[in-house]
Amino acid sequence: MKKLLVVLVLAFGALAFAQDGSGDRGLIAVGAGLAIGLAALGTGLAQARIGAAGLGAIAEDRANFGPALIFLLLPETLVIFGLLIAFLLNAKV
Amino acid sequence: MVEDFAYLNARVQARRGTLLKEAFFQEALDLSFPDFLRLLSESVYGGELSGQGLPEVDRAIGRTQARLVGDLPRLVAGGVREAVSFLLLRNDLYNLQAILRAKATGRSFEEVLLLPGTLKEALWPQVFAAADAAGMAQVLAVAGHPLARVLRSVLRETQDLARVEALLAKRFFEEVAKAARSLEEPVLRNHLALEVDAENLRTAFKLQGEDASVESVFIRGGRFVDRVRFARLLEGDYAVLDELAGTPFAPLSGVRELRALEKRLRCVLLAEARKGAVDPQGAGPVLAYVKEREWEAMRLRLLVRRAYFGLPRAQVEEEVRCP
Repeated sequence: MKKLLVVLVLAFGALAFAQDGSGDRGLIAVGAGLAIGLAALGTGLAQARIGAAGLGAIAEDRANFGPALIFLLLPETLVIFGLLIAFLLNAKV
Repeated sequence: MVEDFAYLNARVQARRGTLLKEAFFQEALDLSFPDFLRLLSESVYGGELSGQGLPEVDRAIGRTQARLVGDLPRLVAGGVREAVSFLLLRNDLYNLQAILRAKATGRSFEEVLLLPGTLKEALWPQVFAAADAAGMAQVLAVAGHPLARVLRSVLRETQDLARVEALLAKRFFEEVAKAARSLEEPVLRNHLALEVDAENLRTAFKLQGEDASVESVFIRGGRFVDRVRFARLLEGDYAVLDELAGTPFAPLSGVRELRALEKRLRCVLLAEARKGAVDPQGAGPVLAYVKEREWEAMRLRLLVRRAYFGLPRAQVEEEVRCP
């Protein structure tokens, strides 16, 4: 919760700066940053638990390495979506 | 919630695969002792099996349980370790009570069926070898176990075995319940409350007809068996069991003797523990696993005795089944 609050404060701060200076260009840059940042934050939270569970499964049986790795990497798609949105926004700048 | 149980629950989930299937127990009911040993050697217990006798099988069961359950607290740290230790501390109490009973009735250490607890397996023979109950407390104190203090305080009040057992359970549960409140793990807290109820029911059955004061043996912290019901049951009013119809203890209705009560309580607690296994982020899966392993060991020990002494199937069939 605290982490989310920090992100929001930073985002609104950046928005204030953006509106103060170079208008749309700044807002789009903030949007791109938020897209990647929030996606990475969500991915990190998900991977923390999946990673811990995966390690537990591997510790019991090394044969679980493959499935554990796949499940660990699945949340990475969220960052890819964030990156894609950032690119799309950047194309408008 | 205490902390993240993801790591431990994943390990427990992997170990669940080694739990013996129902078909194993059905098949074992008809086997001779050598055939039973063969079947057991093909299971997860096979690695520890190093002989053809009854004590060797008991030892294999004990060691396998210690390996698959006793190591759980050591796999984690912090609040999760504390939570898992609560489950196994209960087994330490059982083991101590079993040793006290065995010494009082002149049985050997090999006949004591130990459950996987927080103490190392090698310590229990030393506890058994102590000259008296005070000596046992001394051995436990050297190991730094909280039961040492509890046993000492009980022995200052009484030397009567039935009352020592009851008082041990009372002090132990009251201390554990106090500590469990700070854990904020509802599955564990609820189960502990059910265990308190179960212990109160057992105590009431054991001390029926004896001159025991309700206040000295009744354990606070249960959910369904309050002080009034406990006192009535202690006086032999079995209607109390019928009044528990709307609770998890409904299957106790009609029970009139301690052995039947023990069996049904075991099944009730197992069924309730299984219900908590649905939350992969909480202590429920570990609780369910620990209880299922205990039940498995109990069934194996009964079945191996049936095979060893050549008892008829019907004699143990009911004992190794939970409806």
